[in-house]
Amino acid sequence: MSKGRPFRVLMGLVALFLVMALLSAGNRDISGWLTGDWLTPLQQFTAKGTETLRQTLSPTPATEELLAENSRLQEENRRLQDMVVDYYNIRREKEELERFYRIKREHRSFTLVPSTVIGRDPDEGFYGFTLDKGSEDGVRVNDPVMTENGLVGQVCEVSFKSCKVCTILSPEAGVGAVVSRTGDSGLLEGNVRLADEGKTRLMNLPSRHTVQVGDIVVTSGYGGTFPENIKIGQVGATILDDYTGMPAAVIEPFEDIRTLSSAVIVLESGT
Amino acid sequence: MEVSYGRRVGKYLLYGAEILAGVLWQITPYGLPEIGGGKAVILAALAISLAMVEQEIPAMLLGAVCGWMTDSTSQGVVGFYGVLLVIACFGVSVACRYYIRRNRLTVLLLGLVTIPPLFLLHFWVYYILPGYEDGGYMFVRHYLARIVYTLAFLPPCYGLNRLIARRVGTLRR
Repeated sequence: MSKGRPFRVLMGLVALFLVMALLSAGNRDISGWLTGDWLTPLQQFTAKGTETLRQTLSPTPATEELLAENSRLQEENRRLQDMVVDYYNIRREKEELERFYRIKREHRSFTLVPSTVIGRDPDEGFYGFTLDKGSEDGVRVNDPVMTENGLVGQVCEVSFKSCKVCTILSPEAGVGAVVSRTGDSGLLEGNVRLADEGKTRLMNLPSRHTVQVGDIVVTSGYGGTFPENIKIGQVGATILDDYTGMPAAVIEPFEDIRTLSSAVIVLESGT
Repeated sequence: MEVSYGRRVGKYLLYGAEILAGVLWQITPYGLPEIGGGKAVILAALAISLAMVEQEIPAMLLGAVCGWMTDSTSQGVVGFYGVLLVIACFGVSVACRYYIRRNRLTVLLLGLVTIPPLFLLHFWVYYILPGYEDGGYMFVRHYLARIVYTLAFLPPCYGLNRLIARRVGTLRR
Protein backbone atom coordinates (compact mmCIF):
# COMPACT_ATOMS: atom_id res chain seq x y z
CA MET A 1 0.00 0.00 0.00
CA SER A 2 1.41 3.39 -0.99
CA LYS A 3 2.16 5.77 1.85
CA GLY A 4 -0.10 8.48 0.43
CA ARG A 5 -3.16 6.26 0.01
CA PRO A 6 -4.60 6.61 3.52
CA PHE A 7 -4.28 10.39 3.25
CA ARG A 8 -6.07 10.38 -0.11
CA VAL A 9 -8.85 8.26 1.37
CA LEU A 10 -9.08 10.67 4.29
CA MET A 11 -9.39 13.67 1.96
CA GLY A 12 -11.95 11.86 -0.14
CA LEU A 13 -14.16 10.99 2.84
CA VAL A 14 -13.90 14.52 4.29
CA ALA A 15 -14.87 16.00 0.91
CA LEU A 16 -17.81 13.58 0.63
CA PHE A 17 -19.19 14.51 4.03
CA LEU A 18 -18.72 18.23 3.36
CA VAL A 19 -20.77 17.88 0.18
CA MET A 20 -23.44 15.95 2.11
CA ALA A 21 -23.46 18.66 4.76
CA LEU A 22 -23.86 21.40 2.17
CA LEU A 23 -26.68 19.52 0.46
CA SER A 24 -28.56 18.71 3.65
CA ALA A 25 -28.07 22.19 5.16
CA GLY A 26 -29.64 23.85 2.13
CA ASN A 27 -32.55 21.48 1.78
CA ARG A 28 -33.76 19.48 4.75
CA ASP A 29 -35.95 17.27 2.54
CA ILE A 30 -32.89 15.98 0.71
CA SER A 31 -31.56 14.47 3.91
CA GLY A 32 -34.31 11.89 3.50
CA TRP A 33 -32.38 9.81 0.98
CA LEU A 34 -29.21 10.24 3.04
CA THR A 35 -30.72 9.17 6.33
CA GLY A 36 -31.32 5.52 5.71
CA ASP A 37 -35.08 4.90 5.93
CA TRP A 38 -34.23 1.23 6.34
CA LEU A 39 -33.51 2.04 9.99
CA THR A 40 -37.10 3.13 10.69
CA PRO A 41 -38.65 -0.37 11.01
CA LEU A 42 -35.90 -1.34 13.46
CA GLN A 43 -36.51 1.82 15.46
CA GLN A 44 -40.23 1.00 15.58
CA PHE A 45 -39.46 -2.49 16.82
CA THR A 46 -37.07 -1.42 19.58
CA ALA A 47 -39.27 1.51 20.68
CA LYS A 48 -42.25 -0.82 20.99
CA GLY A 49 -40.12 -3.34 22.87
CA THR A 50 -38.83 -0.91 25.47
CA GLU A 51 -42.28 0.62 26.00
CA THR A 52 -43.81 -2.83 26.55
CA LEU A 53 -40.98 -3.82 28.89
CA ARG A 54 -41.32 -0.58 30.83
CA GLN A 55 -45.06 -1.11 31.38
CA THR A 56 -44.67 -4.81 32.19
CA LEU A 57 -42.00 -4.21 34.83
CA SER A 58 -44.01 -1.53 36.63
CA PRO A 59 -44.64 -3.06 40.07
CA THR A 60 -48.24 -3.71 41.01
CA PRO A 61 -49.75 -5.37 44.05
CA ALA A 62 -51.01 -8.20 41.78
CA THR A 63 -47.51 -9.04 40.58
CA GLU A 64 -46.14 -9.13 44.12
CA GLU A 65 -48.89 -11.52 45.21
CA LEU A 66 -48.17 -13.83 42.26
CA LEU A 67 -44.47 -13.81 43.03
CA ALA A 68 -45.22 -14.79 46.66
CA GLU A 69 -47.05 -17.89 45.39
CA ASN A 70 -44.49 -18.58 42.62
CA SER A 71 -43.56 -22.19 43.48
CA ARG A 72 -47.17 -23.40 43.41
CA LEU A 73 -48.50 -21.28 40.52
CA GLN A 74 -45.53 -21.12 38.12
CA GLU A 75 -47.33 -22.36 35.05
CA GLU A 76 -50.36 -20.11 35.64
CA ASN A 77 -48.00 -17.18 36.36
CA ARG A 78 -46.29 -17.60 32.98
CA ARG A 79 -49.65 -17.75 31.24
CA LEU A 80 -50.81 -14.60 33.05
CA GLN A 81 -47.61 -12.78 32.11
CA ASP A 82 -48.21 -13.59 28.45
CA MET A 83 -51.75 -12.25 28.80
CA VAL A 84 -50.45 -9.07 30.49
CA VAL A 85 -48.11 -8.39 27.58
CA ASP A 86 -50.96 -8.84 25.11
CA TYR A 87 -53.18 -6.69 27.33
CA TYR A 88 -50.71 -3.79 27.40
CA ASN A 89 -50.27 -3.95 23.63
CA ILE A 90 -54.02 -3.82 23.09
CA ARG A 91 -54.51 -1.14 25.74
CA ARG A 92 -51.82 1.05 24.21
CA GLU A 93 -53.44 0.73 20.78
CA LYS A 94 -56.84 1.53 22.31
CA GLU A 95 -55.46 4.60 24.11
CA GLU A 96 -53.77 5.83 20.94
CA LEU A 97 -56.98 5.41 18.94
CA GLU A 98 -59.00 7.19 21.65
CA ARG A 99 -56.54 10.09 21.63
CA PHE A 100 -56.75 10.25 17.85
CA TYR A 101 -60.56 10.23 18.00
CA ARG A 102 -60.64 13.05 20.60
CA ILE A 103 -58.35 15.22 18.50
CA LYS A 104 -60.37 14.51 15.38
CA ARG A 105 -63.61 15.35 17.18
CA GLU A 106 -62.20 18.69 18.38
CA HIS A 107 -60.73 19.59 15.00
CA ARG A 108 -63.00 18.10 12.37
CA SER A 109 -61.38 19.99 9.52
CA PHE A 110 -57.90 18.59 10.26
CA THR A 111 -56.34 15.77 8.31
CA LEU A 112 -54.49 13.82 10.98
CA VAL A 113 -51.88 11.08 10.94
CA PRO A 114 -51.32 9.20 14.21
CA SER A 115 -47.71 8.27 14.82
CA THR A 116 -45.34 6.80 17.40
CA VAL A 117 -42.13 8.21 18.84
CA ILE A 118 -39.39 5.86 17.64
CA GLY A 119 -36.28 7.81 18.50
CA ARG A 120 -34.83 10.47 20.76
CA ASP A 121 -31.50 11.98 19.82
CA PRO A 122 -29.01 12.09 22.73
CA ASP A 123 -27.62 15.34 21.30
CA GLU A 124 -31.00 17.06 21.26
CA GLY A 125 -31.14 19.62 24.05
CA PHE A 126 -34.79 20.57 23.58
CA TYR A 127 -36.35 17.09 23.62
CA GLY A 128 -36.90 16.76 19.90
CA PHE A 129 -37.89 13.31 18.71
CA THR A 130 -38.43 11.12 15.64
CA LEU A 131 -41.86 9.88 14.53
CA ASP A 132 -42.55 6.84 12.37
CA LYS A 133 -44.42 8.68 9.60
CA GLY A 134 -42.75 10.35 6.63
CA SER A 135 -43.29 11.70 3.15
CA GLU A 136 -44.92 8.47 2.00
CA ASP A 137 -47.73 9.32 4.47
CA GLY A 138 -48.02 12.89 3.23
CA VAL A 139 -45.96 14.50 5.98
CA ARG A 140 -44.13 17.69 5.05
CA VAL A 141 -41.75 20.07 6.76
CA ASN A 142 -43.52 22.56 9.08
CA ASP A 143 -46.55 20.31 9.63
CA PRO A 144 -47.79 20.85 13.22
CA VAL A 145 -47.48 17.98 15.69
CA MET A 146 -49.89 17.66 18.60
CA THR A 147 -51.50 15.31 21.09
CA GLU A 148 -54.95 15.28 22.66
CA ASN A 149 -53.53 17.64 25.30
CA GLY A 150 -52.19 20.23 22.89
CA LEU A 151 -49.45 21.35 20.54
CA VAL A 152 -45.98 19.82 20.99
CA GLY A 153 -44.01 21.06 17.97
CA GLN A 154 -43.60 20.96 14.24
CA VAL A 155 -41.94 18.72 11.69
CA CYS A 156 -38.47 20.06 10.89
CA GLU A 157 -37.04 17.21 8.78
CA VAL A 158 -38.78 14.60 6.67
CA SER A 159 -37.56 11.40 5.08
CA PHE A 160 -39.55 8.76 3.27
CA LYS A 161 -40.55 6.74 6.34
CA SER A 162 -39.92 9.02 9.28
CA CYS A 163 -39.78 12.64 10.37
CA LYS A 164 -38.03 14.64 13.04
CA VAL A 165 -39.92 17.03 15.27
CA CYS A 166 -38.64 20.28 16.76
CA THR A 167 -40.57 20.96 19.93
CA ILE A 168 -42.12 24.13 21.33
CA LEU A 169 -39.42 23.97 24.04
CA SER A 170 -36.82 25.02 21.47
CA PRO A 171 -35.54 28.59 20.97
CA GLU A 172 -36.39 28.07 17.30
CA ALA A 173 -40.05 27.22 18.01
CA GLY A 174 -41.43 30.49 16.61
CA VAL A 175 -45.08 29.56 17.20
CA GLY A 176 -47.51 32.48 17.14
CA ALA A 177 -49.61 32.23 20.29
CA VAL A 178 -52.31 34.23 22.02
CA VAL A 179 -53.62 34.27 25.58
CA SER A 180 -57.22 33.24 25.10
CA ARG A 181 -58.66 35.38 27.96
CA THR A 182 -56.91 38.68 27.23
CA GLY A 183 -56.04 38.45 23.53
CA ASP A 184 -52.39 39.35 24.22
CA SER A 185 -50.26 37.73 21.57
CA GLY A 186 -46.63 36.77 21.37
CA LEU A 187 -44.16 34.21 20.06
CA LEU A 188 -43.13 30.96 21.71
CA GLU A 189 -39.39 30.79 22.25
CA GLY A 190 -37.87 28.34 24.69
CA ASN A 191 -34.54 28.15 26.43
CA VAL A 192 -32.57 25.29 27.93
CA ARG A 193 -33.37 26.02 31.58
CA LEU A 194 -37.12 26.00 30.99
CA ALA A 195 -36.87 23.08 28.59
CA ASP A 196 -35.35 20.95 31.36
CA GLU A 197 -38.52 21.63 33.35
CA GLY A 198 -40.74 20.90 30.35
CA LYS A 199 -41.69 24.57 29.97
CA THR A 200 -41.32 27.30 27.38
CA ARG A 201 -41.77 31.08 27.09
CA LEU A 202 -44.22 33.41 25.40
CA MET A 203 -42.07 36.33 24.29
CA ASN A 204 -42.80 39.79 22.87
CA LEU A 205 -45.87 40.41 24.99
CA PRO A 206 -47.23 43.96 24.90
CA SER A 207 -45.81 46.16 27.64
CA ARG A 208 -49.31 46.76 29.03
CA HIS A 209 -50.46 43.13 28.92
CA THR A 210 -52.95 41.77 31.45
CA VAL A 211 -51.80 38.17 31.41
CA GLN A 212 -52.16 36.30 34.69
CA VAL A 213 -51.00 32.97 36.06
CA GLY A 214 -53.38 30.24 34.96
CA ASP A 215 -54.41 31.85 31.67
CA ILE A 216 -54.73 29.41 28.76
CA VAL A 217 -52.50 29.94 25.73
CA VAL A 218 -53.52 28.77 22.25
CA THR A 219 -52.08 29.14 18.76
CA SER A 220 -52.96 32.41 17.09
CA GLY A 221 -52.92 31.15 13.49
CA TYR A 222 -50.71 34.10 12.45
CA GLY A 223 -48.14 33.19 9.84
CA GLY A 224 -50.17 30.34 8.42
CA THR A 225 -48.01 27.50 9.71
CA PHE A 226 -50.16 26.55 12.67
CA PRO A 227 -53.96 26.49 12.65
CA GLU A 228 -55.52 28.76 15.24
CA ASN A 229 -56.97 27.73 18.59
CA ILE A 230 -54.84 24.66 19.19
CA LYS A 231 -54.20 24.44 22.92
CA ILE A 232 -50.60 24.92 24.02
CA GLY A 233 -50.52 25.30 27.80
CA GLN A 234 -51.16 27.63 30.66
CA VAL A 235 -49.26 30.59 32.05
CA GLY A 236 -47.06 29.55 34.99
CA ALA A 237 -45.51 32.95 35.68
CA THR A 238 -45.15 36.41 34.16
CA ILE A 239 -41.58 37.65 33.95
CA LEU A 240 -39.29 40.21 32.44
CA ASP A 241 -36.91 38.44 30.11
CA ASP A 242 -33.32 38.49 31.44
CA TYR A 243 -31.80 39.28 28.05
CA THR A 244 -34.27 41.63 26.40
CA GLY A 245 -36.00 43.13 29.44
CA MET A 246 -39.33 42.70 27.66
CA PRO A 247 -42.44 41.21 29.27
CA ALA A 248 -42.78 37.49 28.80
CA ALA A 249 -44.68 34.57 30.30
CA VAL A 250 -43.51 31.14 31.31
CA ILE A 251 -45.78 28.59 29.65
CA GLU A 252 -46.41 25.13 31.09
CA PRO A 253 -47.49 22.97 28.12
CA PHE A 254 -50.43 20.68 28.72
CA GLU A 255 -48.42 17.78 27.32
CA ASP A 256 -45.19 16.53 28.92
CA ILE A 257 -43.04 16.63 25.81
CA ARG A 258 -40.06 15.03 27.56
CA THR A 259 -41.84 11.69 28.01
CA LEU A 260 -44.08 11.67 24.95
CA SER A 261 -44.56 8.25 23.31
CA SER A 262 -47.07 9.06 20.54
CA ALA A 263 -48.39 12.10 18.71
CA VAL A 264 -50.52 13.17 15.79
CA ILE A 265 -49.27 15.05 12.73
CA VAL A 266 -51.62 17.62 11.23
CA LEU A 267 -51.41 17.38 7.46
CA GLU A 268 -54.11 19.88 6.56
CA SER A 269 -56.14 22.17 8.68
CA GLY A 270 -58.95 22.68 6.21
CA THR A 271 -60.81 26.02 6.04
CA MET B 1 0.14 -15.25 9.08
CA GLU B 2 -2.32 -14.26 6.38
CA VAL B 3 -5.91 -14.01 7.58
CA SER B 4 -8.48 -15.71 5.35
CA TYR B 5 -11.01 -13.68 3.39
CA GLY B 6 -13.90 -15.37 5.19
CA ARG B 7 -12.61 -14.39 8.63
CA ARG B 8 -12.16 -10.80 7.51
CA VAL B 9 -15.72 -10.69 6.16
CA GLY B 10 -16.98 -12.20 9.40
CA LYS B 11 -15.11 -9.57 11.38
CA TYR B 12 -16.68 -6.71 9.44
CA LEU B 13 -20.11 -8.29 9.75
CA LEU B 14 -19.61 -8.32 13.51
CA TYR B 15 -18.54 -4.68 13.40
CA GLY B 16 -21.68 -3.89 11.39
CA ALA B 17 -23.87 -5.64 13.94
CA GLU B 18 -22.16 -3.68 16.70
CA ILE B 19 -22.79 -0.37 14.93
CA LEU B 20 -26.43 -1.26 14.29
CA ALA B 21 -26.95 -2.29 17.92
CA GLY B 22 -25.18 0.87 19.06
CA VAL B 23 -27.34 3.25 17.04
CA LEU B 24 -30.57 1.53 18.07
CA TRP B 25 -29.57 1.54 21.73
CA GLN B 26 -28.56 5.20 21.43
CA ILE B 27 -31.81 6.53 20.01
CA THR B 28 -34.53 4.16 21.27
CA PRO B 29 -36.78 5.93 23.82
CA TYR B 30 -36.00 4.57 27.31
CA GLY B 31 -33.19 2.51 25.79
CA LEU B 32 -30.40 4.49 27.42
CA PRO B 33 -31.05 6.15 30.79
CA GLU B 34 -30.28 9.82 31.13
CA ILE B 35 -27.55 10.30 33.74
CA GLY B 36 -26.73 13.72 35.07
CA GLY B 37 -28.71 15.39 32.28
CA GLY B 38 -26.93 13.69 29.40
CA LYS B 39 -26.98 10.56 27.28
CA ALA B 40 -24.02 8.81 25.71
CA VAL B 41 -23.35 9.00 21.99
CA ILE B 42 -22.40 5.33 21.82
CA LEU B 43 -21.32 5.40 18.19
CA ALA B 44 -18.62 7.98 18.95
CA ALA B 45 -17.04 5.66 21.54
CA LEU B 46 -17.50 2.71 19.20
CA ALA B 47 -15.80 4.48 16.29
CA ILE B 48 -12.78 5.48 18.39
CA SER B 49 -12.45 1.97 19.82
CA LEU B 50 -12.61 0.43 16.34
CA ALA B 51 -9.89 2.82 15.15
CA MET B 52 -7.63 1.53 17.94
CA VAL B 53 -7.64 -2.01 16.53
CA GLU B 54 -7.81 -1.37 12.79
CA GLN B 55 -5.55 0.07 10.12
CA GLU B 56 -6.06 3.59 8.82
CA ILE B 57 -8.39 2.99 5.88
CA PRO B 58 -10.75 0.52 7.61
CA ALA B 59 -10.72 2.79 10.68
CA MET B 60 -11.74 5.79 8.60
CA LEU B 61 -14.46 3.85 6.81
CA LEU B 62 -15.85 2.53 10.08
CA GLY B 63 -15.69 6.05 11.52
CA ALA B 64 -17.53 7.32 8.46
CA VAL B 65 -20.29 4.75 8.94
CA CYS B 66 -20.64 5.57 12.64
CA GLY B 67 -20.67 9.29 11.87
CA TRP B 68 -23.22 8.93 9.10
CA MET B 69 -25.51 6.81 11.33
CA THR B 70 -25.27 9.37 14.14
CA ASP B 71 -25.95 12.29 11.80
CA SER B 72 -28.90 10.61 10.11
CA THR B 73 -30.64 9.90 13.41
CA SER B 74 -30.11 13.37 14.84
CA GLN B 75 -31.34 16.80 13.89
CA GLY B 76 -28.96 19.04 12.02
CA VAL B 77 -26.81 18.69 8.96
CA VAL B 78 -25.64 15.29 7.78
CA GLY B 79 -21.86 15.27 7.83
CA PHE B 80 -20.96 16.85 11.15
CA TYR B 81 -20.13 13.64 12.97
CA GLY B 82 -19.10 12.06 9.68
CA VAL B 83 -16.25 14.48 9.05
CA LEU B 84 -15.09 14.63 12.64
CA LEU B 85 -15.13 10.88 13.28
CA VAL B 86 -13.29 10.17 10.02
CA ILE B 87 -10.52 12.57 11.04
CA ALA B 88 -10.46 11.33 14.64
CA CYS B 89 -10.37 7.68 13.59
CA PHE B 90 -7.54 8.34 11.16
CA GLY B 91 -5.52 10.03 13.89
CA VAL B 92 -6.23 7.32 16.47
CA SER B 93 -5.37 4.53 14.04
CA VAL B 94 -2.08 6.15 13.04
CA ALA B 95 -1.22 6.78 16.69
CA CYS B 96 -1.94 3.17 17.69
CA ARG B 97 -0.04 1.71 14.75
CA TYR B 98 3.13 3.80 14.89
CA TYR B 99 3.45 5.82 18.07
CA ILE B 100 1.51 4.41 21.00
CA ARG B 101 1.43 1.03 22.71
CA ARG B 102 -2.15 0.09 23.49
CA ASN B 103 -2.94 -0.31 27.20
CA ARG B 104 -5.64 0.89 29.59
CA LEU B 105 -3.98 4.26 30.14
CA THR B 106 -3.41 5.04 26.47
CA VAL B 107 -6.96 3.95 25.59
CA LEU B 108 -8.29 6.44 28.13
CA LEU B 109 -5.89 9.15 26.95
CA LEU B 110 -6.90 8.67 23.32
CA GLY B 111 -10.52 8.92 24.41
CA LEU B 112 -9.82 12.15 26.29
CA VAL B 113 -8.06 13.61 23.28
CA THR B 114 -10.90 12.80 20.85
CA ILE B 115 -14.28 12.69 22.57
CA PRO B 116 -14.30 15.94 24.62
CA PRO B 117 -13.14 18.05 21.64
CA LEU B 118 -15.83 16.39 19.52
CA PHE B 119 -18.58 17.48 21.89
CA LEU B 120 -17.00 20.89 22.50
CA LEU B 121 -17.19 21.49 18.77
CA HIS B 122 -20.78 20.21 18.71
CA PHE B 123 -21.64 22.63 21.53
CA TRP B 124 -20.00 25.52 19.69
CA VAL B 125 -21.66 24.77 16.34
CA TYR B 126 -25.14 23.88 17.56
CA TYR B 127 -25.47 26.08 20.62
CA ILE B 128 -23.02 28.99 20.68
CA LEU B 129 -23.07 29.96 16.98
CA PRO B 130 -26.90 30.13 16.82
CA GLY B 131 -26.73 32.51 19.81
CA TYR B 132 -28.85 30.54 22.28
CA GLU B 133 -29.09 31.71 25.88
CA ASP B 134 -27.58 30.09 28.96
CA GLY B 135 -24.65 28.48 27.19
CA GLY B 136 -22.86 27.85 30.46
CA TYR B 137 -25.86 26.11 31.93
CA MET B 138 -26.27 24.00 28.79
CA PHE B 139 -22.64 22.93 28.87
CA VAL B 140 -22.49 22.12 32.57
CA ARG B 141 -25.95 20.56 32.77
CA HIS B 142 -25.89 18.51 29.56
CA TYR B 143 -22.60 18.41 27.69
CA LEU B 144 -20.32 17.50 30.62
CA ALA B 145 -22.51 14.51 31.46
CA ARG B 146 -22.61 13.52 27.78
CA ILE B 147 -18.79 13.60 27.58
CA VAL B 148 -18.29 11.50 30.71
CA TYR B 149 -21.07 9.08 29.78
CA THR B 150 -19.64 8.57 26.28
CA LEU B 151 -16.13 8.09 27.65
CA ALA B 152 -17.50 5.41 29.99
CA PHE B 153 -18.49 3.36 26.93
CA LEU B 154 -14.99 3.48 25.46
CA PRO B 155 -13.27 0.76 27.56
CA PRO B 156 -15.96 -1.91 27.06
CA CYS B 157 -16.18 -1.08 23.34
CA TYR B 158 -12.40 -1.33 23.04
CA GLY B 159 -12.36 -4.61 24.96
CA LEU B 160 -14.98 -6.13 22.69
CA ASN B 161 -13.35 -4.97 19.45
CA ARG B 162 -9.89 -6.04 20.61
CA LEU B 163 -11.30 -9.50 21.35
CA ILE B 164 -12.88 -9.69 17.89
CA ALA B 165 -9.72 -8.48 16.12
CA ARG B 166 -7.49 -10.92 18.03
CA ARG B 167 -9.78 -13.90 17.43
CA VAL B 168 -9.85 -13.12 13.72
CA GLY B 169 -6.08 -12.69 13.73
CA THR B 170 -5.76 -9.14 12.43
CA LEU B 171 -4.48 -7.81 15.75
CA ARG B 172 -1.38 -9.25 17.37
CA ARG B 173 -0.71 -9.23 21.11
